[in-house]
Amino acid sequence: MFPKVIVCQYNLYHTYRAAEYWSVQITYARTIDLPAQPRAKGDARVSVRLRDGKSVIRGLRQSGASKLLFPKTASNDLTAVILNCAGGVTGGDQFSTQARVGRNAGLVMTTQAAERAYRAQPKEIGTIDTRLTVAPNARLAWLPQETLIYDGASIKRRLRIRLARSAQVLACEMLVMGRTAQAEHLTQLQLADDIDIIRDGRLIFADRLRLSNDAERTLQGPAVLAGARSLATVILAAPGVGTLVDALRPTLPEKCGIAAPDPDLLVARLTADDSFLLRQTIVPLLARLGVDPLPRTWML
Amino acid sequence: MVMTTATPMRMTTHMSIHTNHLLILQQMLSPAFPVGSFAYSQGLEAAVQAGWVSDAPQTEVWLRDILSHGSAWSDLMLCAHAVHGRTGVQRLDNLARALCLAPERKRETLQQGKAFASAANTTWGLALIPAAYPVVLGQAIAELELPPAASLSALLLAQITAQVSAAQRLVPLGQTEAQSIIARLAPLCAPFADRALSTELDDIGGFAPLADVAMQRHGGLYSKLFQS
Repeated sequence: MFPKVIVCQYNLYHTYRAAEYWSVQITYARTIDLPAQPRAKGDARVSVRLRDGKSVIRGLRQSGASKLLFPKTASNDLTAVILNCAGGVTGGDQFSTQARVGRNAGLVMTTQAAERAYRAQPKEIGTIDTRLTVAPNARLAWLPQETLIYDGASIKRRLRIRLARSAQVLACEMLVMGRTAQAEHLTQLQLADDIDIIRDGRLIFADRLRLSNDAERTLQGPAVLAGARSLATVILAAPGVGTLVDALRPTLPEKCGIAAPDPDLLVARLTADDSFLLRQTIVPLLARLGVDPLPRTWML
Repeated sequence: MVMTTATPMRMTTHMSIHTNHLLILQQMLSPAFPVGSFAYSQGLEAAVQAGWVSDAPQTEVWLRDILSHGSAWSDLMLCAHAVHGRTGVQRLDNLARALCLAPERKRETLQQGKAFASAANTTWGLALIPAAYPVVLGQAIAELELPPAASLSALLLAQITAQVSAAQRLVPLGQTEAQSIIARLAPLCAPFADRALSTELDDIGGFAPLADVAMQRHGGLYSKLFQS
């Protein structure tokens, strides 16, 4: 589950980030007076259009620690893989991604690896800002891999998707609270995770996750996660999708829900003990919602 | 497990309230005010059927989560922002609707808001715009010039009372036990009201995934007493 390559990269280039990873060194690193943490900035922008029945890149701009890769697939939709060369996000980092899907085109976006929100220095917040626009009759699948929240993380993430009336989007965000293999406790945390979906200029879906301070105690709550460590939100916005609820409901395990707040919107909130079990629920759900095959990076 | 004995709320100066205001608040937040608050459980019924909540102590912990991290806190924030009017009613109403993860919850807040606006407009000659319930309540508090902190505290107590009353129909929970739960949760009202009034709208939100799941599972229950 842990992509070792990324870990090696930042071991070489980002000493302080590495110190955050190896908990033994964290203690040492915190006893000395830390200089300002190195900042990572990344910005990636892509626009997609339909040419001869295939979705192709129309414009591309990338800078800093963000890169986009475009693996060849059998599909007519374009696949864009976001690569965070900094190996994670910590306090003061700023990442932004923008994509525009043109009329009738299709885009699948995912990430190369799980995103890591590392311990941040006091009062430093890492920001991840994603803005996606989908034109009439166009399709977007936003399928990043998990975001792993480490103890001490301070992160503000915002995903905003603007849809034309006839456009459709499938979006999935997965959060894993703490490094479960180490039974990491989240004693200190600042998490703000927003999703806005705007159709035809009107806000049709808003998610506002806020978790701070002694998260460990909060996570135990029966209405919070009852001690489980991961959750996902899946949103499908497309004309008439609300009718799928009755068929999908019986396929989900007990601590997962799905509903149609309005006839053109399907929302699932899924919880699981860990990220492995979460994927066991989410992969078949995405398949039922038409994601077939999954992006290749999900299977590495 | 939080099971401390109830301590009476200390009256601080900002909680002092004109008798006329107090009486209006009591009337508009009373279970007899025709908004049908008895019909909604906000996911509690699904949580009980799933076995997540099955007795008095579990009810109390569940409600504490809803107040601290769930829909009750978001509603309080929406109400606070409707009171001080820095954000327009239309925008708050849109946000309130967009935050609903299940149709039952959306129907609940919109029906209660509509019923409240209609009853309050007639009763007190107000011009409330129908919207999500907390947004309409906020407008009423502002139009009647009720003290914001006391009003929001009273709203939160009314929500706690409604939820405990729903719990009485779902789990073994006696009348006296129910009142003890309300008394233990009541001291949260004033600090939460203050916090809601001083928190920016950008910071609205919480973290109650299993409460969201419960609300979503309500629609799939085979038999149900409540509409949400």
